[in-house]
Amino acid sequence: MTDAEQARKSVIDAILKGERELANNLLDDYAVSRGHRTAMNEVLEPVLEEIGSRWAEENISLAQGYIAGKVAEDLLLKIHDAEQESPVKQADKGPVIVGNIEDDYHSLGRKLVSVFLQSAGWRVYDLGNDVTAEEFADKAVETGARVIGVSAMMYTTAANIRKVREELDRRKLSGRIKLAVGGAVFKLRHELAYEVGGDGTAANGFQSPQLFERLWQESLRETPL
Amino acid sequence: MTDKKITCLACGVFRMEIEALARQGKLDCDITTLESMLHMKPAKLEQKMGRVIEAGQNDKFLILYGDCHPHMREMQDRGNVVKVAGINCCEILLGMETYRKLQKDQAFIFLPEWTLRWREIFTHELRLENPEVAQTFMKEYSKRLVYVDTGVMPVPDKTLQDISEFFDMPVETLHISLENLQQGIDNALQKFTRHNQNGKK
Repeated sequence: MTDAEQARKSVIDAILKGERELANNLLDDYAVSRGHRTAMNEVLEPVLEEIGSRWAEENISLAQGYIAGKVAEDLLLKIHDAEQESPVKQADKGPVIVGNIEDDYHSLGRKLVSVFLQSAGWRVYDLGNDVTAEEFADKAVETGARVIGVSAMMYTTAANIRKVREELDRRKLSGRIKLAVGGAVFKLRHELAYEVGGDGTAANGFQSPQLFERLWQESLRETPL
Repeated sequence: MTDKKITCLACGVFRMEIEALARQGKLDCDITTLESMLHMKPAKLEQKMGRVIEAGQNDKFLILYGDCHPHMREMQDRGNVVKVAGINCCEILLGMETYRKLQKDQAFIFLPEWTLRWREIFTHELRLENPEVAQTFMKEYSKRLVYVDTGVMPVPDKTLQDISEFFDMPVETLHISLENLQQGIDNALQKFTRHNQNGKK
């Protein structure tokens, strides 16, 4: 077993046991001679993918998912601090927007998505809860984001996502700006993602980096720089 | 349709409140409640609700649930089913205005039935066994803990104290009447009257 494989196994075990500090220590140990960015790429990102698969099979509790998010957040902070001091800056993948749709206040999923996207190298603008279609579109235009991720927990609030699609259409931004949708309701009602005007969805927050990557590439193909 | 029996199919979280309304003569129908923990398993909830409704095809159903599974809207497409308006149990009891204010204040709301089984919910269902993790989690997502006293049981002071200690946050108590619940039920039942009148035209 390589060092990276051993570290991944230990970090997964720590997260599943709810041991945030232990997981952080294991990642710090791995980073000693390699740096925190390498620990993210070689250890934590694959760990998050593995936890995402288990989440999809409903083998992960809310607490374990939460701990995974906090461990990612802790490591991101260390990367951020290290890169502040370093003359070499890590290239970011680009700006993306996330937020809970108008009238939706279930922020756990969105916050996890935000952390996982940052872990994957995206520059995330998290607009918080109860965000209107206009606010999403304005921020995407202001930052140059090609993907907006909108979260909704329930059917009633998910229906409000249509307003974001309509706003993008009205401003002739559909195609350039892709709409990722997610939240508990989409898991049990897959077709809803397209009914509300979404361009794609992921099985869970852990898989959001792959979704955003795909939508970003689609946007580039449809409306190149 | 008016001759059909009406069954109130409700989430167990409302059990004490609807029994109180029935005792006061404000709710005249059969009552069937389902385990409130099904809130955590929407697919299973949908299945169980579907079975109850299928079994009573000749009855009328008053659904006392929020938007708790993804096909709740379709359930109301059946002519014999009406649902109380409201996104979830908290909004149904509190009314839209108070509920939204609490949401904006990032309040975590404890209703009576869930309060009595709070440890089961947080430690078994959500697996927040570790108080340190539970506290970090709750403080990150909630600024206030609010117990909603619907007047159907004494305020469980000792339990609220345990909750407060577990999360290291104060628990406020908000006293409400059952007026919003009653109004929601009455509005939903009026849909049967309208269905019936439309049917006669």
